[in-house]
Amino acid sequence: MTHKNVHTVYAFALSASVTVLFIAVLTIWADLYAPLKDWLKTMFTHHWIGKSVLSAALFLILGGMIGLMVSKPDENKIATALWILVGASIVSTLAIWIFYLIEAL
Amino acid sequence: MNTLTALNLVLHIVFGLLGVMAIYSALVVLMKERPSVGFLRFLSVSGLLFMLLAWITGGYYYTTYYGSAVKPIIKAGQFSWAHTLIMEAKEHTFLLLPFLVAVLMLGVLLVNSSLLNDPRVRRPLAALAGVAFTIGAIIALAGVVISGAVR
Amino acid sequence: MALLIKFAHIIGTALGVGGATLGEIFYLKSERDGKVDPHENEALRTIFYMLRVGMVILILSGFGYLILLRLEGHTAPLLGARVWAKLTIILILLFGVVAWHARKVPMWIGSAVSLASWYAALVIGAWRGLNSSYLTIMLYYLGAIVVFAIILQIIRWSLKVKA
Repeated sequence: MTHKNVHTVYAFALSASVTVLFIAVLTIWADLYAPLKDWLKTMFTHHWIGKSVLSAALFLILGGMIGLMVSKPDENKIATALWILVGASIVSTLAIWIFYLIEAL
Repeated sequence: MNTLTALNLVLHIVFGLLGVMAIYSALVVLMKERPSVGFLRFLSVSGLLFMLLAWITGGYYYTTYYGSAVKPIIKAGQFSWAHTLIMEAKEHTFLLLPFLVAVLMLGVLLVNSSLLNDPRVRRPLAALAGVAFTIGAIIALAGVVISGAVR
Repeated sequence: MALLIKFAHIIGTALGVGGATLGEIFYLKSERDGKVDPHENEALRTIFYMLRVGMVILILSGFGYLILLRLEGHTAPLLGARVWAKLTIILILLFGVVAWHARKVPMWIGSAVSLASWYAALVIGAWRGLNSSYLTIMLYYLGAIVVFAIILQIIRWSLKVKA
C-alpha cells in the first residue's frame, strides 16, 4: 500500500528529470546561440540567474501539473520515475562537462 | 574583495560542504536495510536547505564579483582552462543539485516508513543520493581548482 | 582564525586516526569468537560515530585552510600535490564506505583502505616539507594499503580470527 502523497514524489521526480535535461539543453544552446544568452541577460540581469529562475519555474509548474494529472502510482512506478531521474542527471552532467571540454580544447 | 563579497564566498563554500555532507550521510543511511527514518528526514531537509543557501550565496558572489574581478585574472593566467572548462561546467552543473535534493527530500518525507524499507524504492533513492553526492563532490573539487587558478 | 582552523584540523585527524585504529583493534578482538556480541557492537558503534565526527571536522577545517589561502591571495598550494593527494584520499575513503555498505568490498580491503587513508592524511598533513609529485604520493598511498592489508592479515592469523 502506498501513502496518499506519493504521487507528489512521482510527479516531481518526473518533473526534475525534465528540468535537469532542460538545464543541459539551455546551457549548451545559450553558449552556441548568442541571442538566447543576450535575452537571458536582458530579462534576468544575468544569464545564470535566468537559467536558475527558468529551471525552478519549470520544476515547480511541471511537477504541479503532473501531480494533478496522475492517479496514485504504485511502488514500481515511483521507482521507475526515480531511476529515470538518476539517468537524466548523469546524462545532463556528462553533456555539460563534455560540451565545455570541447569548447576549451 | 569587500567584506560582503568575501562573506558570501565563505558561506557558499560552507553551505555547499554541509549540503554535500548531509547528502552523503543520507546515502549511507539509505544503504542500510532498515534506515533510521527520522534521521534520514533530518538529513534530507538539511541537505536541501544548505543547497538553497549555497545557491543564493554562490549566485551573489558569481553575479556581482566573479565575472568582473576574478574571471579576467584566470583567463589571463596560465590556467585559463580553469574558467573556460571548470567554472563554466561547475556553475551549470550546480543547477541540477537543488532539484535532485528536493526530490530526495520529498521521497524521504512523503513516503511512509514501510515503503522506505522496500528495496524497490530505497535503492533508487540511494542512487539519487549517490548521484547528487558525486556531483556535489565534483563541484567542490572544481571550486578548489578555480580558486587555485586565481594568481 | 588560522589557529582555530589548525586546532580543528588536528582534532579531526586525531579522532579519525584514533577511531580507525581503535575500531580495527576492537573489531579484530570481537571477531575472535566469530561473532560480535551486543557490548562489542555498542563499543564499535561509538568508535565509528567518533570517526565520523572526526571526518566532518577534518573536511570543514581542511576547506577552512583553503578558504584562508584564497582570501589571503596565496593560492598556489590549492593546485599543489599535497592538497590534491589529501582530497583524493578523502574521496577514496568516502566512496570506500559506500562500496563497503553495498557489499562490493570485503572487510579486509575496507579495513586496509580505511587505516591507510587516515594515516596517509596524517602523514601528508604533518610533513610540511613534502615535495613529491601527486603521482608519487598516491603510489606510496597504494603501497601503504597493501602493507596494511598484509599486516592485518598476519594479525588475524595470529589471533586465529574465526570470521
